[in-house]
Amino acid sequence: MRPTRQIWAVGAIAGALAVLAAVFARPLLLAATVLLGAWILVRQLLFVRGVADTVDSLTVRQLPAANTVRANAEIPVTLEATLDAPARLLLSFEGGVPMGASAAAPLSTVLEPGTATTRETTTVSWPVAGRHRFNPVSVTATDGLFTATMPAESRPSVTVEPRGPHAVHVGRGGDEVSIAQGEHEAGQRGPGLEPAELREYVPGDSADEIDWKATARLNTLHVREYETETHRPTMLIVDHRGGLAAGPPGESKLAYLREVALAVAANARELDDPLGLIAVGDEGITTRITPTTGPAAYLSIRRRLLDLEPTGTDGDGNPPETAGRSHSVPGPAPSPTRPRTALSALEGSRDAFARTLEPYYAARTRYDVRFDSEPLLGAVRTALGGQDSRQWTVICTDDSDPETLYETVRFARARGSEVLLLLTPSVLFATDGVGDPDRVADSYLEFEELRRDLDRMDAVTAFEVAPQERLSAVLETTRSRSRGAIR
Amino acid sequence: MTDYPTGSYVESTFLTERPSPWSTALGAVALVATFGAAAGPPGVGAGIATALLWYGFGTPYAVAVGHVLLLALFPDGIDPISFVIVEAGLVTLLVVPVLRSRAPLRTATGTLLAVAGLGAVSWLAVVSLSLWQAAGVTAGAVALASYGAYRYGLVALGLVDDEPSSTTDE
Repeated sequence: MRPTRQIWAVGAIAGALAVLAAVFARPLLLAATVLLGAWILVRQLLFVRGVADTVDSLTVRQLPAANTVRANAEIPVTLEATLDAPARLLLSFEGGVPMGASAAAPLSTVLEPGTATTRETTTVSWPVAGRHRFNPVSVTATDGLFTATMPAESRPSVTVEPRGPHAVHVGRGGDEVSIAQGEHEAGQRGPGLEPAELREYVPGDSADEIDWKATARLNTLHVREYETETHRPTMLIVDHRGGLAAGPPGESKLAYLREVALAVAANARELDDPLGLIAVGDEGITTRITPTTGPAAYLSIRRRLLDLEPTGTDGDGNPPETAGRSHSVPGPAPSPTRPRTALSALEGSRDAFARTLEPYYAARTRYDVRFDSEPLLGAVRTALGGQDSRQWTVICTDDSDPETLYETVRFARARGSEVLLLLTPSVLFATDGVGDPDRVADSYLEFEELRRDLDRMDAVTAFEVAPQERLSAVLETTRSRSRGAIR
Repeated sequence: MTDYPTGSYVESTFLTERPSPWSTALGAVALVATFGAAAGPPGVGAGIATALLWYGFGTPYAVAVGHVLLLALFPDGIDPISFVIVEAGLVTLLVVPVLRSRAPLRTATGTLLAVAGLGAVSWLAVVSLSLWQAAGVTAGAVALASYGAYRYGLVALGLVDDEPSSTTDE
């Protein structure tokens, strides 16, 4: 509780009158000091009682429009104050926007004497991911003579999710599947821990393999066989050509494929499977790591996957026109994914700063092996050249070039490798066709046909990788269309 | 936070509505009558001036200026009866505005008790100490009472931190 200037003025007058009383030897003036003191005291107590009653009937709420938002999103936040009955005070409210958020205008409002409700809305942006709790609302009450500031407990939380793939769908025609692998059967009998079969002894079997308990029970010589377990070499082939940049910032095809590739890598690490990586850019292979085990190798692959960014962007950092994508989703494009923009910006200046930074950006896309055409096919040829035929080849790419895709998969199959194909449907990452659900549904059905064709090939599994929400919306459109057709 | 502007009229918004015409008239008449009774025709003039000041600027300025005018009306000192009469008129200025509060009787009683309490302290100081000391005691009593009300306010509004503040870096 603080006095305002008016109270200080009255107090000063009271004090001055007391001094004058002493100076002029006129005790009469002390009576004025007494009356003014009584006046101040009564107003002070009136203020305390009035504020206490007002606060008891006051409801203050901070109302964010959503409890979960994406990073850099903007949502309206409303500050609302309601009294049971109009107050005789002026109440000011200062919203407690969290540190990690920024409001376009101050989140504050005023409740004038004689009014019972007020609300103010402002736009708040959330650049920092995490869980943000609002600070208490600061309520300042004044009756013109005194001021008191107190907190009001209305502390909602807003969870800010980082930009990037969310609810990654991996599946077939909208049905989700798991790509996590269990332990692998070798399809052979031999030394192992898992019992496979009990059979009669045949000449040639080793005496060590005889199961004596079964022999005693069954009265004839029996041999117990075990399942042989093995480690399966896995080769991740990740396409990061320019076309994979399609999609909103941070939610590109490559971002989704990266998530799944990381999951495959983690699974391989868990099973201690040898894991390799080939990253394919527009002009050839940018990364080649042969299948190997060990924490350092997994870590290296994981780091490389996280570093991958689309190649072949033009000088302005935009993907080529052929990719047919545009970033219509609001929010700044993350600058680290646009190294060429930075590089072109540095070209203009020749100062020490630019000279120091240039090599770091210039060296971002270095090709290990260059191909004149069809880099994906070239990558698979490289991956399977002289490799173990049991190798599991995981190809992460999109559906932009079906012919090359068929050829690539056929080649892999011809070399005896099992293939897991993870495809991002371009239609679910394009932003120009959002307005026409029928066109989107048609495009998705075309993709689904391609995926099924590939999936039908022997020892080939083809899954779609897509944003769950977009896919659900498209599936809903296709279902409603088919219902309409039945009627 | 800037102070809430109430113009030149000094009063709490809890007593926002200015005194009604009847109560204003009552206060003004009481003031003029008591000033006139104590000091004659010049007192009536001083009473009218003080009443106008009260209406325009509020109680504190009327009380202060009213007492200064009394000094002029009684250059050789005021006798106890006249003092009681004029102070009764001025106390009316304190009581009339609080009749607009939500608990007028309680507030008016509180006002009279505050006047009586501070007045008793001041009177005792005047009769037993030097005038300088009496002035100090009166101002100190007002300050102490105001500080007590301030502490009461902190408790009543729940602004006192119950947690003992740590003095060590943990």
